[in-house]
Amino acid sequence: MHKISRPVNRDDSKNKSSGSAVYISDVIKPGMLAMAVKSADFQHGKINTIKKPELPEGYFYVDGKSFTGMNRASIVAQDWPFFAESEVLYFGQPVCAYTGPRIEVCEKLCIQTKIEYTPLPAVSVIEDAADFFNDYTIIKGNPDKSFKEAAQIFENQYRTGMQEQAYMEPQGMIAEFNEGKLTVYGSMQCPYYIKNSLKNAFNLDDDNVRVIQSITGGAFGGKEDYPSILAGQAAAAAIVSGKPVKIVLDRRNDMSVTPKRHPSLIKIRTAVDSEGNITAMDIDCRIDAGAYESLSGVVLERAIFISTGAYNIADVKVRGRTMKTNHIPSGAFRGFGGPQALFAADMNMYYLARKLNAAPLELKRRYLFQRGDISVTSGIFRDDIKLEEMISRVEEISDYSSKWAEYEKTSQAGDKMKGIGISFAAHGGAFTGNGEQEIIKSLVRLEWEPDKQTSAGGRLRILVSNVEMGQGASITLRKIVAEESGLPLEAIIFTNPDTDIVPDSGPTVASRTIMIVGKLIQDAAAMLKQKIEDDINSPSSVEKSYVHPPEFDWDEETFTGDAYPAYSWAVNVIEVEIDPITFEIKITGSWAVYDVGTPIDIKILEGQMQGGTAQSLGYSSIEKMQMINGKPAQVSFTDYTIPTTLDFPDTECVFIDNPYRYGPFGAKAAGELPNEGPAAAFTAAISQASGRMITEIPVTPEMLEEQLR
Amino acid sequence: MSDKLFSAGTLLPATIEEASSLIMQGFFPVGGGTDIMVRNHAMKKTGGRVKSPLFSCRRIEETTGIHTNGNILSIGSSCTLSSIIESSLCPAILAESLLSIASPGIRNIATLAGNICNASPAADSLPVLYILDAMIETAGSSGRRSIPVKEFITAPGTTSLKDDEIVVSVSFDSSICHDDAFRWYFRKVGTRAANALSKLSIAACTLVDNGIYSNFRLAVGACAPAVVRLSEAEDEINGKALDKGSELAERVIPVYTKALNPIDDQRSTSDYRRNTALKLIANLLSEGF
Repeated sequence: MHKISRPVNRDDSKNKSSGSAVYISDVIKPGMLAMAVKSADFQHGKINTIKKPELPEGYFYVDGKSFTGMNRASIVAQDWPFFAESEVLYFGQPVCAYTGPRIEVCEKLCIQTKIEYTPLPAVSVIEDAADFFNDYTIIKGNPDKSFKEAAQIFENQYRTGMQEQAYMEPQGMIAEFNEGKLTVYGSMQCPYYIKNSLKNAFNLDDDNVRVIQSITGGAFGGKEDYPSILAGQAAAAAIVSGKPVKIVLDRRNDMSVTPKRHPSLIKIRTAVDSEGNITAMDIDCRIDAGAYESLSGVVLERAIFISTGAYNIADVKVRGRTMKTNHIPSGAFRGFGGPQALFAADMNMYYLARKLNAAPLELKRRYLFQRGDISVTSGIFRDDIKLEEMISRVEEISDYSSKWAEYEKTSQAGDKMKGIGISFAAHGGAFTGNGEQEIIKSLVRLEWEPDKQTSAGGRLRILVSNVEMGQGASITLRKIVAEESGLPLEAIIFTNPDTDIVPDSGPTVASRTIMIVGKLIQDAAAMLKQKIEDDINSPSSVEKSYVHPPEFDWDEETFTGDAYPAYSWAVNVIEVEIDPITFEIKITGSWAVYDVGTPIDIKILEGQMQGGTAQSLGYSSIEKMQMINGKPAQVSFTDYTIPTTLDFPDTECVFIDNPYRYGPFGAKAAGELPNEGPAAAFTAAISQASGRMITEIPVTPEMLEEQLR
Repeated sequence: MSDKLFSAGTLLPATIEEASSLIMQGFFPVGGGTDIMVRNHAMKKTGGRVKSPLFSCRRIEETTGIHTNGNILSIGSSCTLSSIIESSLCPAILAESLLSIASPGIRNIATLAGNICNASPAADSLPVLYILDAMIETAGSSGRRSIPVKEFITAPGTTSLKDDEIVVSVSFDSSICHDDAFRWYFRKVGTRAANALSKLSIAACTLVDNGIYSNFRLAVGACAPAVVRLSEAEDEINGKALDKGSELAERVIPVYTKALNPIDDQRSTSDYRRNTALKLIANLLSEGF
């Protein structure tokens, strides 16, 4: 183990666990107003009239006309309006808002606002959707030829559900507008996304928009997109009223109006030759984008780029579409298209194993990617892939193969319903496609502030736009700089980003913070170290911007080349028991082996893996979110059940050593990886235990009862 | 409302009379109050709120403590779920059902009377109280009443508690629970392992003498607008041999099938609730207690 992996205490654990951390809902500005948004209680319709109540003194009305620039948030696409205009496209869409001294009054004004609609046909499920925002096709090799020559063709389809991010702290923002300058504070992942969105919304120049992250109590992708909407709404209210305005969503409101993970429907046709070899796949991947495109195009890219999972299939055709439905726009969620694609890919291998009378692991390991293999986008896996070593390790800790053989006998005998499943997952680190080199172009800055009072002789400040949101970015980035500069950890300062101070090092997404930004600050720290050694008593600084390693090629037009510079890998084993009467599912074992390069902090990593696995198992089983006529049926933690510590066992984790040459101290992507594989391992285990081929998550007792009754 | 009413002494009445007087002045009694925030939140969209102002009953002497009077066990309405579970007087079947409610933090403040007065068809304590033939003891300005639990609960969310009344205690004959021949069963099928609401629940108890059922009682929760307990089925079972369980199941399952009328909702489906409840009953009878 590298010495940087040794755990240190998190710098944010004390204030967050003691309750002294100040979240946006705790912040009060002088003269601050409250705000409530009127959401559409209609799925799809043309707005005929909005009947507004009389405004009490000191209260203001805000809607789409309050934006002096465009009434559209900039979230990759620029189509999602802050407030609906002539048409409401989904249940819960913001229509207008009220701001004023008392929240109860604002809420009452919303209730008293009556909207009349002319109904329009609504689309609620992927199958019924005719329109799409994006339609991409990728071809690897010659799939037509392989299908023509196939001895057998298998076809199946896989479905995944919605998932709520369920961050502990609901979304919230404060906006103020003083002397032409707009300042926004709030819970967020991407300060510069919000800044750019506000510039466009109000036609403000760079100097007149400032975004400051407040302590963020969890995000999981859920604070990548919607904070831009919320910031726009609060800013409009601040500009209209001339006072600071705070909006904090309560839990039901948050769950009713914010984006969730994209549901998916993925059909896979597989060509098999006369010797039983898989020669080609034809994959049709549809994800439910909801009513606006927002960032769905990039989610789709990540899904289709990894659409054969961890398996090397020679000839592949993938078509992906982001289907337009009358739902809340789907959004970012840990894994970002990966969990859906990997579930389908891995369950399809399980399905093929059953069809071809092979043990699932036997079939899967024949196709696992190896160094030098070609990805779906015809990129090259340049680094060592240690999946065989990872299989040995997971066998050692889980005893997978012998349990699988045992349950194969007992499940056929029909008395006990036990099963075990194994899955393989790959996660491409960094922003998808040309994101890092062409769009984000990360810039970081380190500053040295001499201070003779301190034992280190001063402080080294990390200036990046990436946020601490509970994942440990603060302590891990500080560790990287401390290790490289030789300065003690206490001398390295990381504070919540303020766009007036930090350069744009990009969004806190795509497991890029350590791998991309961490490497930049490591390089900058090496340069700054020299300057400090030359003159410790003078302030100095270093800036470093991202340079894409020249060996990686990418063509954004054709989606050809290296979609990601490096991949992280996971093997998951999940063991289950199904109650033969109630079909309640008990997870009796969870094991995983990860290749994330060098762990920057083993304790942080273990936390990520435990949490990510539980989140994925929740996604696979008890986290059911239904849209009934476009309205979310589960909008509280009473009805939308996320796992507690009693639901799943701890995951026994092993990290293998495989440093990445372009990562800080060898680190690569980690945070999303544990969310990618468990769903397929779990569903394979359920399939073995129940003797049915399960192709849909979440797997609920209700669903099993219906199939097995 | 005068300011005086907000002094702690007044809002924490020590006697039933003081409580009645507060009710007459427009105050509403509350037990642990763990559902207030949840309900207010749920009612927000429609502009509704939980009735207020509230007062607490927990200082009323008569509502505190668990005691026995002969065979009758009486649980004060202000007793927290945790204190009941920990009491040596509490029968194991009741403790088991109370342990399945919420989480330790909530059980430390929530009361049994609160769970009853909420009158949710999915309330976890109710099936056990139904089979123990529990009585709800109330008091108010018009005097005292003792009401069987199944009459106390009149519909989902409503009870026969009068506006001027409070629940004083819950009582039942616990002697059966101490019989050597006593057997019991409680099973909650919830949405997750803890802090979960019921999809359905089954409570049953019986005496088994020389392999023969007597005093068999069974109740099903969350499968109809009210807890389902059927004397027709229980009569069929009483006096029959434990080892004829499969035959008994065949005979009574149609009776339960007719009575169960569960709903589809955001937590489960009607089919799952009905089929699973029936399978649990059939399995309980064929496996024996």
